[in-house]
Parts: sequence; C-alpha cells; structure tokens
Amino acid sequence: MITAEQKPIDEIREMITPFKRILALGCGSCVSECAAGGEKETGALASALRMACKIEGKEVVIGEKTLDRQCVKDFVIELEDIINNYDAILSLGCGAGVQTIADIFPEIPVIPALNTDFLGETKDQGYWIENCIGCGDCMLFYFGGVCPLARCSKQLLNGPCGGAVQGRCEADPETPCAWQLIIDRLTFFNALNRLETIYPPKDWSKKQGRGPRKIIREDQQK
Amino acid sequence: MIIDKGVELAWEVGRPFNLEIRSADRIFYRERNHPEMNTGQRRDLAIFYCQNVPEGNEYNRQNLEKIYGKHIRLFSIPCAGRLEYTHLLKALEEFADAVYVITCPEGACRYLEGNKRAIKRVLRIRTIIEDIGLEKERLDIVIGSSEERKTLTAFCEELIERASSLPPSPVHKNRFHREDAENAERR
Repeated sequence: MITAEQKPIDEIREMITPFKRILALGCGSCVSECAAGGEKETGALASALRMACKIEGKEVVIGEKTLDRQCVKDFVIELEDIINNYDAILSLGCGAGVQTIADIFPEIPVIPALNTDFLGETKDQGYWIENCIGCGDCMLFYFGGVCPLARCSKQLLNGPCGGAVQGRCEADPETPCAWQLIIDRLTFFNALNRLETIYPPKDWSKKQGRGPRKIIREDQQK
Repeated sequence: MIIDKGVELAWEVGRPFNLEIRSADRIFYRERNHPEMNTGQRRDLAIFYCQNVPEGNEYNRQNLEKIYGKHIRLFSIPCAGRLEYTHLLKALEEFADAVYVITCPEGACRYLEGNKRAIKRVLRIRTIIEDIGLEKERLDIVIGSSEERKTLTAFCEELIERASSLPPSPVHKNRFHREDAENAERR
C-alpha cells in the first residue's frame, strides 16, 4: 500500500490562494487506508479550508468528491461531467494519482494535498512501516523474508555490521536489527548457508536512473 | 426547591403528577419564569454526546432543543468513539460557535476505549482549527466523572455557560451581520 500524509494546512492554503473554485478530490484506495486522503479526510480538509476562507473573508467554492482510485484512468474520467465547474483540483491522492489527473485533464491545475511517503505495511491500527523500497529486484528469498535494504539502517547486503545491541540497531535503538531478524529466520528454516554467498553491490538501475519505470504486459492489454 | 417548581410545571402542562420530573422540564420552567438567570451571551453550540450519558434519552434531547431553540443542537451517538473529524468540523463550519463532545467516564465506555479514541480525535482537530485561525477552545471534550454522574441537562447548562465566554465564531460573520440587521429593523 502507498502511504501518505497530509501537507500542513498553511502550505495547502498558500497553493490554493489564486483559485476561486476548487475541487477537493479524495482517493478511496491506499491513501484512504492510511487515513490521509479518503472520503472522511477529504471532507475534513475541505471543511477546514472553507472555514479558513470564510475567516479571511474570501469567497471561494470548495467542492468535494472521492474517486475509487485516482491512479486509474477509468475512474478519473468520472470527473468529466463536473471538472468544468472548477478552476483547480486539490488532490488527496498519492503522487501517481495527482499525475494521472494532470495527464487526463491537462487544462486544469492539480495541486497535491499529500506528501507521498512509502510502500507501507500496516503494522497496527494507525501504524505503517516501510518494509519494501520497491528496488525492482527482490532478494527476500535469500534473506529469509526480511529486506536488508528497507529494514537495515545501513542497507547492508552482507551483514551484520556488528553494532547491534540486544537485537536493536545502533543507529536507532527503536528499530530491530534487520540482520538479527535475517539470521534468526534463516536459522529457523535451517537455511543459514544462503548467507555464505557474497552479494555484489545492488544494481540500482532496476529502481531508478532511466526515467520512470514501466511494466508492460501485452496479455493484459486490449 | 427546583423539583417543586418542576412539579408545578407538570401540573401546568396537564401532565399527570409525577415526582420524577425530567431535568429538561425544570430548565424550561426556569427559562420561562426567571429570564434573569440567563447570564452571558448565548453562543450556538453543537453537542455530541454518548447515549450512555444519564438522561441522554430522546425525550430529554428534544426538550433541551426546544428550550434553547436554535442555540443548541444535540447529537446523540452510540459511542463517542464513533465520532469522525468531519462531524466536528462540519458543525463548526455550518453553524456552531463551539462544539463539545461528552463522553463516558474513563473506564466506563461500553465499547472499552471509545472515549479514549474520541479524546485523540478531538485533540487532532483542535490543532487543525488552530491552524486555520480559530481558537482551540471552540472544540472541547467533556469527560464525565464516575463519582458524580452528571445528567445531559447539567452538562448542557455548564457548556452553555462555558461557551458564553467565547467571542462569536469568525466563520459565521455573515450570520451576525444578518442578525444585527434584523435586530436593528425590529428596533
């Protein structure tokens, strides 16, 4: 799931200043799950912004709507009927959602209301953690299902570093040592020999460096 | 003393004599016959209350809304933990000068932690309303006491008194202009 957090209200207010008719647009998918941009959050933000405008004596119309997904064209075209009523869209989607809307409706400014953070695991209610950095070349098998790139502060592929204290990372004692977890799990599965391999430096070209990454599946296309 | 007056009211409105006179009726009597007891400036309030608050029944809610007219809107909720940000913000946006949430005493929530959740949500919304330039006192949570359980009526009286110290909400400037004009016209 993509996680995000709402930008500070002041920053949002500054960005929407030039516009008189704004559509606060939520997304019912990932950002709804992490309570940043779903229907409820969209309603709350729109309400807060309307109040801020009233206090300042500005006449601004702020409508609200939530799409099932902002990053899928089939859902975004639902806006066709109402988009002409607005000067700008304040998107409570992730960065992908913001850009999908901008692609489909290039004539209208799209303002991001969220800071998109990471691929998150829902650890508990109200607690999300980054356990995958989307490197494009998954090595979880070799590390017993614990990603050293996401969970080790030093991103060591050939650990441990030796600095952990009682299974906790020396860089951040709140964080469990990823290499401790890797060794514990591989020991449990009797697969510690996987660590006898020396892993070469990560090939980051599969993550970034050549423009946006793409997945093209002809069997899924029309 | 107040109960006596309540009884008197019950006779006046032709209800059968009943010693268990409802709190709201007592206020009704007092409001009508002793207007000098209404102190301070009335503010428009939205009060969200847990159904478990003593005398938080529908009869009492309707009576209180009749007594205070447009100045108070009471919203009964199954549990304060059911409250969402939008409920509080929309109330402030639409009509309220102040919004209060009444919860059960600590440890008395029938859903175990509804009141704790409500506290966290109210605190979060307080930061939002501060960011947009409203006083954070316009939104507050009132936690009942397990030793002395106040009735909904008592809470309302207390909250009306508390809100009277707040200035009118700047969100509803137009409303005040309109009311001033109406008052001037009447004069």
